[in-house]
Amino acid sequence: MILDIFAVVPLILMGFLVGILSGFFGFGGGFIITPFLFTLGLPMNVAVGTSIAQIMGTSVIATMRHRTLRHVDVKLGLITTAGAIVGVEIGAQLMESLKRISPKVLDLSVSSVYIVLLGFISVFMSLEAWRSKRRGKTEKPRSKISKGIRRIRIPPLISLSESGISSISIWLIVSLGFVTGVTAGFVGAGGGFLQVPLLIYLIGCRTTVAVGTNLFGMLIASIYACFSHAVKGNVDIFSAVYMLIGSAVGTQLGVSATRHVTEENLRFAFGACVGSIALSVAFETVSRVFHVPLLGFLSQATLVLTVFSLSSFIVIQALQFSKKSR
Amino acid sequence: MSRRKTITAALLLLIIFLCYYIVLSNKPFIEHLRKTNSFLYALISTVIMLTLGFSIGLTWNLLGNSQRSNKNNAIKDKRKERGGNNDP
Repeated sequence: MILDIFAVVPLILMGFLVGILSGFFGFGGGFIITPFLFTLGLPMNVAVGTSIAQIMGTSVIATMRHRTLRHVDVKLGLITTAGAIVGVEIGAQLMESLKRISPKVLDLSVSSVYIVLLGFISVFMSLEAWRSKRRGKTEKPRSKISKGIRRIRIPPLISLSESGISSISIWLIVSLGFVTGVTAGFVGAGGGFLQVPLLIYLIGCRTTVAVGTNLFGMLIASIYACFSHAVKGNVDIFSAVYMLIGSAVGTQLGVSATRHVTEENLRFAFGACVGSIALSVAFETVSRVFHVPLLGFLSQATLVLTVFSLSSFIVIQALQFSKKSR
Repeated sequence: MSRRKTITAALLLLIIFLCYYIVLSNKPFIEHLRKTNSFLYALISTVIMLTLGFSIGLTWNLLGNSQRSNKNNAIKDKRKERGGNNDP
């Protein structure tokens, strides 16, 4: 019983902390949970599958909340999901082929993709937010980029009234869904940290609708991804269930805090969070490849410090907001 | 209406606790299923997470609506009182 508590409490606590970050940033938290489970000693394929199962549960809760706030563009969500479902299966199959070659090759490949992808997003968003703050006004790079993207007029063209988009090629949206699906199937993440920026900067979607729609699309895609990974034996349902206890409460706190932070600070915090996770995975990968235990400890310390400090910041923001509103 | 929502939320919480109890008390069976019947294990895992997610989400929505209703009723009561005090 005592051993069970030592195993369960970190899972619930991590679920709670990731739930706060999920509610605040609008992502499922897979890119935090997968490395966390990996550092706990789970094989990477089980860490990925379990992460997806937890994301599925959390995104149900968050989508229901966003739906009541009219932040979900169902048409956009369904089309991105159509692309994502194909992408997820390809991502999962890719992982299975690497697993058959060697588990070490799989661990190294997934870790490398994590580090490169998260590192790029961290640098991009942090720089963009810093420039916006420095100039004292909100930059809108998405206007230029999305205008260029929307010049691609491959039929059929559709309108997305909820997102404020009059006309866009359906294939752009399907491609976006496909890319995020491959990422989700391969690394157990690829929801908010990839799709939300893509929806905002490439498609030109409103931020709140991008977050809500992403969660809706992620829900549908993760149902299929969870089932696919579970059939392959990659899901530890008990770990996922324990983490859901914590994330169910944390999500609500995170959502409350978003009303109290400027958009630039939110993007900067997002970039900082993602960068720290990339650093943690880098430490763990080097530790396993070169057998340096100290780096493994540093990896876990980085992850825990990042999650704790950001979650504390968000909870303080939420409490300050609730005091002011009284 | 808000009392009905609060009771519904309480019932949903009971369902959530019951789901967790059923899942965790059948751990050996589910672990055995994972090794012997992957399709059934996948189906059960997906259904468990979806059921818990929907129940928790619905509970939060009901509690949130219930709190908002109580706040709105409190504001309306205060306005009525002020309106009563202002009568000649």
